Amino acid sequence: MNRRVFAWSLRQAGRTLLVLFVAAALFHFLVLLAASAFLGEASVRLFGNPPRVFEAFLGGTANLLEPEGWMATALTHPLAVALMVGAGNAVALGAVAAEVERGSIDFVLGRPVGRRPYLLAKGAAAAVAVAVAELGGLVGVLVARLTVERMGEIGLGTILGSFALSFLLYAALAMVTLLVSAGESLRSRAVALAVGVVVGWYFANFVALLIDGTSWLRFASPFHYFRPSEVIAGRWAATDAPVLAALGGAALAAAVWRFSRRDLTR
Amino acid sequence: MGEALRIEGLVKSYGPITAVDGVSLSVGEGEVFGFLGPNGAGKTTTIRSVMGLVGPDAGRIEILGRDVAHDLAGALAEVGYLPDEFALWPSLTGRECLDYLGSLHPRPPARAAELCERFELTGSDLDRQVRRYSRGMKQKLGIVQAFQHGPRLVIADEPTGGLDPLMRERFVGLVAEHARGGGTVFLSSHVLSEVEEATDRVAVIRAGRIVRTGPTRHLTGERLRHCTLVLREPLPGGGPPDLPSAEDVVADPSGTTFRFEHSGDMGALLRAVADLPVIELLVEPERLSEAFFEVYRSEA
Repeated sequence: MNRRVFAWSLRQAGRTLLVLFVAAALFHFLVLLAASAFLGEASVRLFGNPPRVFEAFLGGTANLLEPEGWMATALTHPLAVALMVGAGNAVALGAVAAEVERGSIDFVLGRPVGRRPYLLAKGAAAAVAVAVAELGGLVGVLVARLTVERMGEIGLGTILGSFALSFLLYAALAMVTLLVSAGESLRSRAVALAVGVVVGWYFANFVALLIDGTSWLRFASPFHYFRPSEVIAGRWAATDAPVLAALGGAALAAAVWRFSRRDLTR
Repeated sequence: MGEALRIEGLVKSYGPITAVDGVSLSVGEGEVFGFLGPNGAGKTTTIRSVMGLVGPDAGRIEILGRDVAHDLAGALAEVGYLPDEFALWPSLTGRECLDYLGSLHPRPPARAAELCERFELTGSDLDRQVRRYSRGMKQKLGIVQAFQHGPRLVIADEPTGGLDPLMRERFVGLVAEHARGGGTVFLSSHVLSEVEEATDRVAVIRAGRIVRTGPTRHLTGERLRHCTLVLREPLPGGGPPDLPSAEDVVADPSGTTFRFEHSGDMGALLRAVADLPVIELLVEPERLSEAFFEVYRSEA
């Protein structure tokens, strides 16, 4: 890995990451603050038995009557997904496709940097970008834990475990975006492909949770391996983290392989 | 003198299109080498192959004795590169771009400040984001980053696009200075006057093949000279004088001015006109642009 490319990649994405950090902190806090309003008999009647489509949309659970459900909702809400995916993409999309389109990659690889160290640096920077956004979300949850009624019932270890698994999911998705970027020469095409892949996986998980006959489909989606409600309840599968780590590692390896062999032409 | 760049049998195709078809050339250390050809001739593909940005289908490239296929990093450590048609990172300032690129090279960017001054990139220019730069300013920054670490070989692809005549002149001066210091410059350009002024040797590429290589002065000097002979009075008989090796002789109606093309040894011509009532003999060497088009026409 080239440490200078790594450092400058983060520096270039600095403002975007700062915004995503603040947005993730605010979003997670606001979800927990808003969800805490779902207390009392009226809420039990309304949300005690939420429709299945609503549960599927939120990744398999929509228990808005308990703090564990609030947090699970915050972590699987589509806006949280967008923030975390956006953080990884802020670096990964620009790693190759945007650089080739602009022509700036010629300056970097016209120096003794090497393609593999270059892409590994971009991959590491994308992972750090995801970590920054996750850290923002974590800060939001920790503030809520101190200030929102009943949030203190959730253990710190549970919160950290949830965010660790969330990091593995979104870091893996960032590596998939890096793989897409590594083979493209147009930023717009890379964006379309990367977003399409993430939306496709999210939709596959949604369909699998909604329709009994398609439940097998969930194994094909990385979102299946991140179920915060299970983590919070202490029932998470030991294979989830390794599967997500393997996906990220495989995507990164494929990205390096693809990037090392391609012609850098516009 | 060692070789700064050696290309042997370079072939590169993009699908069914062969962009470079067996290019071979050699550039000596301390030389300024011009690489000429129209759009689509294979200049940029050749350069990008040298820089390891595209993978050749066949052939061998050496930079200062290092095989690019096996030691690209070692080879690039000696190179400064200015690509054709580039943009820099829009969110970075000019200074940050230079710092970033300088940090990626094993040699320190010792000449950055001096080169910025030479190309009139002021402190306030360098502190602006490059998204606000004009084409010419970006080009100046590109030139500075290529030379700032004192590379042994500079490879420049259309280096003066967007520069005003003054800055072009300074670039030509910088190239000459680099060569005087023992450095080598491989210069691809459409600006033939610039190539003529700056280079020692040139190669002309056409449809992916080298069609002419040699000293710049030979490419022009071996070809026609444009001559004008003015006499004080018409010769007896009113016809043109005997002008050895002259071609396409055209006389004006007064019978005192003759325009013709001449090639080869000038001695016989000078001896022939010595006894004539000569007022003026103008000899204009053919420009590189004319030679370039002549080569192209003859190879077509």
